[in-house]
Amino acid sequence: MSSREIILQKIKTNKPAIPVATKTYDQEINISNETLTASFISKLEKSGAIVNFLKHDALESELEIYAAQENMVIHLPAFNYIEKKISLTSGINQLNQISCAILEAQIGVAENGAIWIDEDALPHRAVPFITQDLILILSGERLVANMHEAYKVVDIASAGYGLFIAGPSKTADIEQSLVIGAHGAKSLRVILV
Amino acid sequence: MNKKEHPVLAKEFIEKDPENVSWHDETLWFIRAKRDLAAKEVPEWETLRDVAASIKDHLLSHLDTYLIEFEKNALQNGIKVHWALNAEEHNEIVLKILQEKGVQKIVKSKSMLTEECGLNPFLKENGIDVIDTDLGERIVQLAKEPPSHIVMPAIHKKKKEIGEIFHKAYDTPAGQEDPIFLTAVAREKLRENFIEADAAITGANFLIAETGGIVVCTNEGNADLGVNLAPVHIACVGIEKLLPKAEDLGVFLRLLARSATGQPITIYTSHFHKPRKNTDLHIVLVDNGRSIHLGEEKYRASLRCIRCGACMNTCPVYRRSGGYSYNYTIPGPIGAILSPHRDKYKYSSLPFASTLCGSCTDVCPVKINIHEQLYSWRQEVTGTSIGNVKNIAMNASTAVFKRPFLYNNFGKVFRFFLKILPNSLINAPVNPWSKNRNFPEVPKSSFKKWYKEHKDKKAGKDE
Repeated sequence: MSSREIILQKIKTNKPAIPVATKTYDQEINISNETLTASFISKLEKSGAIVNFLKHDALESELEIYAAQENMVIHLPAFNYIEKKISLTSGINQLNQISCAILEAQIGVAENGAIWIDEDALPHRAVPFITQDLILILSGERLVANMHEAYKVVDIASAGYGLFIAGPSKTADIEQSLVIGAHGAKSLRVILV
Repeated sequence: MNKKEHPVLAKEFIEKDPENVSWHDETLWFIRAKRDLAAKEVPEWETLRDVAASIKDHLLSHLDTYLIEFEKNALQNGIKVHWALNAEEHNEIVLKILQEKGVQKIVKSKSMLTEECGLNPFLKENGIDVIDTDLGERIVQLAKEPPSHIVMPAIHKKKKEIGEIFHKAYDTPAGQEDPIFLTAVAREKLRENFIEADAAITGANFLIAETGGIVVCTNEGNADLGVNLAPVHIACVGIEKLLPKAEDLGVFLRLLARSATGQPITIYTSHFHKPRKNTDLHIVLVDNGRSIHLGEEKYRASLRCIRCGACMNTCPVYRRSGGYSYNYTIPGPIGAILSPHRDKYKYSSLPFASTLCGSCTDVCPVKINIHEQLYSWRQEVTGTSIGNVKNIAMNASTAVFKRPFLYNNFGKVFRFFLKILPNSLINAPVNPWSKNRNFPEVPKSSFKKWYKEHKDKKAGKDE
C-alpha cells in the first residue's frame, strides 16, 4: 500500500463518526464608496504605503515622467500602456535591474488595504517583489468592503498565481522594531484613478 | 528531575537574566495587546471564530474526501502531489526531488512543518545548503539555534546580540545594532541567495480543496521572491492545513494576521495554482501522526490550529519562561497539547507548564479548548514533575484537614510559630511553595474566631 493509501485509510478509520456541518458567514454590505475609500486609504497609509488620486490625463503625464527614468517597468495592458517590456523569459539578472515597476491591480479591500493582482497583469511573477519600488494603479470604483466580498469578486484559480498586496514589504524581527523594506518592494505607491 | 523538563529550563531562563524575563514578558504582551486592538475593529469577531472552528471541524470530519479533491484539482493544475506518512518520508521525498534536479542551493521561507520534520539538518547531511530567508529565521539560523516562537523566531534576541551575529556572519561594523541598518544588510545579502537558488522551499498557511491551490502569507515577501525566481518550488504542508472552499479564506484571512501580530492582513497573501512556465511546483502532504490524532476525540480540536501564535503571546508562563523552556518544535500552550501526541513521556512536563488561566483558549481564532486539553493531558501523562516533597506536604495537609480538632489547633500553633520563627526556617526546602513566594502577614485571629465574634452584630455598624 502506498503512503497515500495508508494515510487515507487511517483518516477514514479515525475521522469522527458523525460528520460535522459547516457554518457559513454572510452579511449585507451597505457602505458608500466614500467610506470604503477612506478606510482603504487609512489602512494602506498605516502599513507604510502612499495613496493618491489622479485623473486620467494627469496619470498620462505622470507615466511620461516615469517612462523617461532608467530601469522602469510599466505594464498597464488595460490602459494600453506598456513600456520597457519584461516578459516571462526575462533572465534573473535583467529582473534584478528593475528599480520601479508600475502595474495595474484588479480590486482593493477597504478593511485592510489589500490589493488583488494576478498573473495576467504581471509581466513576470517576480516583478512586484524584485523591484525596489512598486506602484499600483487601481480604479477607485473597484473597492470592496472586506475579504468575504473580495473572494466573491476574485477567482483565485483563473490565473496560475494571484496575490493580495497590502503595503511595502516589512519586518519587525529585530526587537520588534518595525522596518519598512524587507525582501519585497521597499515602497508602495497606490494611484486611484 | 529530568534536565530538559520545563520547570528546570524555565528556571535557567529566569536565573540567567531576571531583567531579560521582564523584557521578554512585556514584548510578548505588547503583541497580545495589538491583537486585541485589531480584534475590536471587527464587530463580528466572535462570530468569525465560531465559523472558523466549524469550517475546520467540518473539514476534519471529511478529511479524506477533501484531500482527494485537493489532489485531483492540484494535479489538473500541473502541480505534483506527494504523500508522506512521517517526517522521515517527507525528508526523503524532498531530497529526491532536489537530487533529481541537481539542486545545490536552496532558499526556504518559514515552515514549522519542516522544523517538525528536521528538514534542514537532514539536507545538510546530504550536502545541500539551506538558507532560511525570513529575517527572524535567518538570525536564529546564523546563531545555530532553533526558533523560539512560531511567528517571530528571534523574539528572544535583543538587537545588540543580533548586531553581533551579523558582524560575525556578514562583516557589519562591530557594535552596529540599528534594526534599519541590519535589515538593509539582510536584504542585500539574502537577495544574492534568492538569485542563486536552484530551488525554493515554503510551507503553506492554507490548502484549498475546491481549487487545488496553496496560500502563503508573509510580510517580508521572502517566500514569493524565492519561488518566483527558482525553477523548483516545493511546498511542505501538514494535511490538516486544508480548507474546503476558496470562500473560506475570507473567514480565515480576517482572523489570522489579527491574531498573530495585530495586523489586519499580512503584506503578501499569495495564491499558487499553477507552476510558473517551465518550472516545477511540488506539494508534499505530511501526516506524521495527524491521522492518528484525528481519532482522539478529546484532543481532535487542536488539529484546527492555524499556527498564529496568539496563545503564546498571551500565556503568562510562555511570556516569562521563553520558547526554549518547552524543548519542542512548537512551544507555548499549543505546543504543550500537541507534543504529548508525539511522546507522552518526553513532554510530560509541558501540560503542567500552565496556570490553567484559559487565556490561550480566549484568544485562539479557531476556538481550540487549549486549557481543557492541558488538563486532560495532565491526567494522562505519568508525571514525575511534581516531585516527592510536594507529595509529602500534600499528604500531611490532607491528614490535618480531615480532622477538625487537628485543623483548629494546627492553625493556632502554626500562626504562633510563623510569628516567631526566622524566615530561613519557614522558607526551607521542605516548603517548595516558598520559592519566590512569601507567606502573608499573620492575622490577629483566625477567620473562624472573628466570624463567631461578629456574626450576631447588626449590619451597618462599623467594625
